Amino acid sequence: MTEAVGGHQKAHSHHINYNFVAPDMSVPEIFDACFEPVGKQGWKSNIVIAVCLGLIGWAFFKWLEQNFVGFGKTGLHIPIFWGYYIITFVFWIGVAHAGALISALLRLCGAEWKGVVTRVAEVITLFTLPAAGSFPLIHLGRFEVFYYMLPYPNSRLLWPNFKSMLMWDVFAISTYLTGSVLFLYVTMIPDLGIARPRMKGWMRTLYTLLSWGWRGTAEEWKRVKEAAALYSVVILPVVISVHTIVSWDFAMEVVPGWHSEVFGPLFFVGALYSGVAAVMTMLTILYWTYKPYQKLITSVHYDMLGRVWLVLGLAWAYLFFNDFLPAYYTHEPEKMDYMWYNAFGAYAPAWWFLIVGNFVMPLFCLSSKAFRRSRLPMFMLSIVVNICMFIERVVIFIPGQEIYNHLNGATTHYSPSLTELSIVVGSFGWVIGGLCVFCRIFPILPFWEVAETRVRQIEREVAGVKINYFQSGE
Amino acid sequence: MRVAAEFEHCEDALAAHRLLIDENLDPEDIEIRSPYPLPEAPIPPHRERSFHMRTVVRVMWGTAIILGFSFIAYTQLDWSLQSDGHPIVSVPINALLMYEMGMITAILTTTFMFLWETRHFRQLVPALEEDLPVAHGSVVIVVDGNSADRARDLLQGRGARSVVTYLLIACLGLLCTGCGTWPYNMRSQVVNKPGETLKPYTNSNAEIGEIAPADLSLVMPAGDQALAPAIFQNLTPGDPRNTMTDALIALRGLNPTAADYAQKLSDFRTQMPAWLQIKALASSSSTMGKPEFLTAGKDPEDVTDRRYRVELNELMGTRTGPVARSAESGERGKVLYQNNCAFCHGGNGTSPGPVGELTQIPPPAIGSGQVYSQPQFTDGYLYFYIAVGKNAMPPFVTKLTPSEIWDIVNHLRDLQSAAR
Ligand code: HEC
Repeated sequence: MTEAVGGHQKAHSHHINYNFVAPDMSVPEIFDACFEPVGKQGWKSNIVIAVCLGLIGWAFFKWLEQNFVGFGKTGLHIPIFWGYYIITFVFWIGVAHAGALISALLRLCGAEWKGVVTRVAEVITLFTLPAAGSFPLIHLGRFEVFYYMLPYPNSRLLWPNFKSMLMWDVFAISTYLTGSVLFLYVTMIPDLGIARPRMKGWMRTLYTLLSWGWRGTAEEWKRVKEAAALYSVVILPVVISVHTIVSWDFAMEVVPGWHSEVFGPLFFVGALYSGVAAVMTMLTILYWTYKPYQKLITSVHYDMLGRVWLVLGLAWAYLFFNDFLPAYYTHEPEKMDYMWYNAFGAYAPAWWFLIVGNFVMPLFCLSSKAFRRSRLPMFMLSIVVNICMFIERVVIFIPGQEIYNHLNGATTHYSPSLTELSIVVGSFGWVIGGLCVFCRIFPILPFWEVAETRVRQIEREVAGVKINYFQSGE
Repeated sequence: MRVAAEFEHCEDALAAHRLLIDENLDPEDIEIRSPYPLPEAPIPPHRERSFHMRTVVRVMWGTAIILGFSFIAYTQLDWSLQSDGHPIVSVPINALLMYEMGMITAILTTTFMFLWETRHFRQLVPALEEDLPVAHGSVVIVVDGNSADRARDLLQGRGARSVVTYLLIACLGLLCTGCGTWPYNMRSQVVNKPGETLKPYTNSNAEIGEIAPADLSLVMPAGDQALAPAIFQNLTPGDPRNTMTDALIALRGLNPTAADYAQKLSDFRTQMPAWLQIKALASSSSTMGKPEFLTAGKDPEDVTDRRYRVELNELMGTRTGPVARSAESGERGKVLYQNNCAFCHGGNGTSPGPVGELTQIPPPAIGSGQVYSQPQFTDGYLYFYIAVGKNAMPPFVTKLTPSEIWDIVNHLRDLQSAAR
């Protein structure tokens, strides 16, 4: 069959041929490949999980210490109130945007290559979003009163302040978390149901409970596809609103550099940009870790994700510079101060690294097809972009606070303390460790989606139909 | 249920399914199971319910999405388009909440609907033997000869549909309210251009008019509520900043009884003529803190926002004002102070006067040698707050000229050195 597909490609080689050729595997082979890591242990991932647990434990200890000793444990001081906790919060929110949005878009476009990407993206959201959501709570300082944010009747007639950005965050994040967890779950039910007779021990019980007695009947398939389509549509505005709301946390403040109208779209696009980078990192690590995945994750995935990435990078760059233009044309004094402070002051190295690493480099690299199709360079670029996206948040949030003190005109400097750094690193431990554990318990590559693509391709090949990446025959 | 046949390729399975139907087997008893969605769904016709919900759902979701996207598009765009580049517009918070609620409802409904509609085909039991072939990647046809009646019964439950439909309608309703009410919740920011006549801050007038009676009933004996319009006409003609709260605070502080209420009110008026006058003047001007207090004597066309901020910074940094401290200036200031400030701040600025005792935030001891003589309270600082006011303290910008305010500042300095 594949030979025939290959021949077909050759015959039309003078055209740009966008056929995504699914790997030449039978359905049982695809099953074995997708479920390869499930239920197994390896010493490498054991070490990773142990290290991650250590990081989480240390962060937890530091957090307890901060709660008992006080906020003086952090590097925050007047007038710098929002430091690395908030930066990391925004960073994880950004990465979490990969999940629902990428998989929703690919599903809606009916992209054939979506198979291996969707669940990876959704699972990244599953772990990064709780990481993000915990940071505002850590930042509360008096963590024990977090339930004040819940609108519950009480004797003092207290009511949450719905005009507070903290409340908006609560609403936005909980909507998004519910949505993306259910999205991930509903599309995973078929896999769990199909695999459960082959599972052993407690995994079998778990799969039985989670799959709700999935049988694979025609009716069920119809409903699950419908549900996936509905989710894809509903989740889009949710995703956009989440990061817009997070950006309002800043744009509503009168701190130079924060006080900007373009923050909504800028944050949103930046989030997608870092989200795609995170998916890229994760795919590559999966590729290197599990042999059978190497047949499923092809260079076409890199190529296509790379294109999406390039477009997002350009959009990000446009909005990032756009943020400065109004300030420059009007010579708004605070914003000008902030600009010069970023570009030529204490933050200059970070700022220029950001410009190069987040804009110039990706622009040139991703424009080349050869680059997009090579694994290691794409992996390195994804790491650089994510570092840059962290830096972006630093240079947006910190300098404005440092120079903004219009009563006595003093500038101060902020650097994170050991406590803050420990907790930030601990959140990375949670995300990486969580992904490792997930890969061992559930199939991280969606078996049924990959199998469906393969089966459809065989069918189409028999019928002689051509199709490109962003369409499907459905 | 017994496995009738296993197939490696789904077309073969579909063909076999068609064959069984052609052979007049009861389609009810035939089920096709597969590890992936089949290209066509061979659901026996009577199982596919004649029901237009799916269309309804699609239309509703379409509407929800359009509304959601327009809400988002609006929030992404409105700042720059509507507010002249000033990002601070209070977000329509009700809209935000309604929108989030709508989305949550949509998400939960999708899940609920999925689980509900597939419930007949699922059993929460340990994996059966018949499921094993599917787990090994085959497409399977299972046939059930005995439980056909039971299956038909299960599939006839139509009542469930209406529950789902009602939920969806409720969800759409929520979305509509969320997206429909924002224009009314949006406080538009009135930006006055140099040279334009100043626009009143319209929304707040309406607000005061609306909430006044309700709030008053909290503090006033029922018989006196007829007085409410009079009070609000006199105290708060359209000034959103020093209005409602002040009047209420004052009234609460007066602790009115039915008998002496009117008397207190007239005392109130005569004790603070300056305030009333200012309120009347202030009602005709914008209260967005525009730079009138700096523009006196300057060409109003010349004042841009940027210069306003620069000048504000300069003003705050001004250690000694332009009017030099002298005996005459101090005297002028003293008279002005006694007329405009003393009833709140007290005769020598150390303990609150009769009206000052009523304000919720007490007037600070501006005449004592302790606090306001410290270096961060520059002359410019005092000037600024006298001009624009602060909480219960009214703005004096429309009442006093700049040099008069500087005279008062000088008098405050005299008071402070006398106290020390
Ligand atoms: C209606 C009563 C009232 C009147 C009239 C009034 N004040 Fe005040 N003033 C206050 C109150 C109340 C405060 C405290 C405001 C706050 O801190 O919220 C205050 C605060 C001040 C402050 C300190 C501002 C700061 O930033 O701490 C100064 C200076 C001052 N008043 C000067 C004056 C002068 C001069 C006048 C007369 C021209 C005057 N006030 C008239 C009630 C009044």
